[in-house]
Amino acid sequence: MSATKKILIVDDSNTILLMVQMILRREGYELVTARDGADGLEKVRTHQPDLVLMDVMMPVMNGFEALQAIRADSTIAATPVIMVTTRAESENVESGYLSGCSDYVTKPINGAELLAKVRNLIID
Amino acid sequence: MKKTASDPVALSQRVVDDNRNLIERLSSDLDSARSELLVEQDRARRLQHQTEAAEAAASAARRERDELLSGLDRFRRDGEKKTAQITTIESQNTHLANLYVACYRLLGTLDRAEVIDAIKDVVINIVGSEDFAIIEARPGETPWTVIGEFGGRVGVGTDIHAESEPVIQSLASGQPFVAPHGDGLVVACVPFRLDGRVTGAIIIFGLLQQKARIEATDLEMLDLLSSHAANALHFTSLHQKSLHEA
Repeated sequence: MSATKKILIVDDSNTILLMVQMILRREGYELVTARDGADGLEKVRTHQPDLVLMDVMMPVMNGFEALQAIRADSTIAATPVIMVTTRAESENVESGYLSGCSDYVTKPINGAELLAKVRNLIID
Repeated sequence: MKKTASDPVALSQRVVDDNRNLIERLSSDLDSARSELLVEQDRARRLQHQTEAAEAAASAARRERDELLSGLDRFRRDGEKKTAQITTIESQNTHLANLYVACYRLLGTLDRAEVIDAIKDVVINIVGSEDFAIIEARPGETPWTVIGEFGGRVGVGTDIHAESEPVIQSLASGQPFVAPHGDGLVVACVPFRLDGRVTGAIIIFGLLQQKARIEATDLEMLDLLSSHAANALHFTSLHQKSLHEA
């Protein structure tokens, strides 16, 4: 049996944190949360998650900046990151991919879509 | 007298001998041909049996293949049906989770600012709008006061009058209004209902670009907001009042 996979959720919205935790906890994932990009970056380093769900608009350090910092650190650079954005404009999505995101979901979050993308990136 | 080639008797005898030899040879050839014919007939019968057996086997294989293809098709259809069921269940779970989260956020605090933030957070992240205003009735006064907003369309603290006919009707009746095609100035108006009174409302001017319209699940969420947001805001007032009195 494979070890429990760990997911870090980085979002400043309590609603999103609660909602995503409810969706992912049912699947048996171990969850860690962070409230901004800097906190998220720190927790990627300390918790070494199997996947990160990263909001874009956050205080202190936004999601793109945190993602770039993750990709620049060789010890955590390979961590899959799904960006969570409120906008689906092509430039926003393009910025995410340029920063090195593995995939993205748009708000309001569709649980089935999120689960499919998480399963796709977390390999047992 | 010496017999010569022209001796008719000898000639006749030779003809008889030749004929006999010929008949014997022909008879022998005929026997051989009969034997070969029997062998060939036997081989033809065997081939016929083998052909029939092969055709029967091919027919059985075709039937088996058809059954397997049919089974595979059934299996594929079952798989698709189950995938669709799982997707539906996951969507329902998400919806229930959203309703739970909205309730939890709205009723999880007695701090007025936090309740307003919770309403905004729910509208942004669950309903899917970044262009809306939250208004509240001021007892004894006709205008509505903006107590929260997103998108910069109206300032917090501003007094406003409802001008859109559907919004006026919605605020008067307490029934949510949702624009049929998501067009117009107002996409939705969700009155806050408390003891049959309308105490406030969320007025949604626009949805996120990727969200085409208000869905059935959104209506349930808006209905929940309609009652729970009113309660949550009322509780904060009672709490403030009790603190003041204490």
